[in-house]
Amino acid sequence: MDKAYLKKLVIARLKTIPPNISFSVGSYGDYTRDELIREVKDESPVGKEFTEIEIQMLIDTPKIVRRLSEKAASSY
Amino acid sequence: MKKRLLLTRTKKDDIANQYLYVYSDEIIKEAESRGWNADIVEDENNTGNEIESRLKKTSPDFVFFNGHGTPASIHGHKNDKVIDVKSASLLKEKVVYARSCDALSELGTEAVNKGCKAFIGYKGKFLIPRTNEYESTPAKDKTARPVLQVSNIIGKRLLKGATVQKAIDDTQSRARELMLEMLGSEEPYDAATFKALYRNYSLLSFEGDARATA
Repeated sequence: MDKAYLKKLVIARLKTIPPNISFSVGSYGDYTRDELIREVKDESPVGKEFTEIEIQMLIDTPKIVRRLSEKAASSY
Repeated sequence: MKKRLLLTRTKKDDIANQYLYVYSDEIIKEAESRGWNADIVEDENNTGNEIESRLKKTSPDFVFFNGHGTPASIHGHKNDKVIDVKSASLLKEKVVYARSCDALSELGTEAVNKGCKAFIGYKGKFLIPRTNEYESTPAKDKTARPVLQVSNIIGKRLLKGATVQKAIDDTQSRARELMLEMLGSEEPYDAATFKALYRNYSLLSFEGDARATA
């Protein structure tokens, strides 16, 4: 996955969040959705933090879904 | 003899602290209902000198820190350092939960090296998602509520007498349940809550004795 595509992917996923949402990111401070998008574009420390979160979430989501399907199967 | 809780929090400094402050009320109520002696250190009193003095004088069984953190320290009012690797011996023989960024990695390790029974915390940035309109009324913020309530489970279980491992297991289990529910949600605000739950749940861990109780 090249860097430009990675950035595009993270920004697209952040855009699914409503614009009136903010995140408190510890000592980095508070960021609105659009500020986070800018941070990702600028590759700042907080932008890199959110890039890591999105990628790790994509990797782990199948595990979470697997638990959902196991739960559903056991209730049939 | 009544067990003792020491809880730190700061309302005035910034939005993140304000949210931590409001959701700490649940912990105080739980402690009181279970017969604990709750010593709350907040706002202007939430400083390094005051915390050092209370830790020495009252010798709490359970210390619940709320506030900003770094790998080596936790901060209180106006970012005053309330505990760090140099003063970690003050946490000897206590169970500690740091609802702070990063503090588990160095401070947690050092505290356990100096005799802390167990130090529960986060190995990175603790995220709080919020809806901007609820900035001044955090208790009504449905985006933040699940994230902070899940993080409260640790405190509640420890106050009930659970081991450190059980408190963490119950917290992670509830986080997973909520994430599963949110994967099927049509509510766009849940996407923000999901991210924070996922991140905090991934970073939650402990140093010390898994079988320790407060």
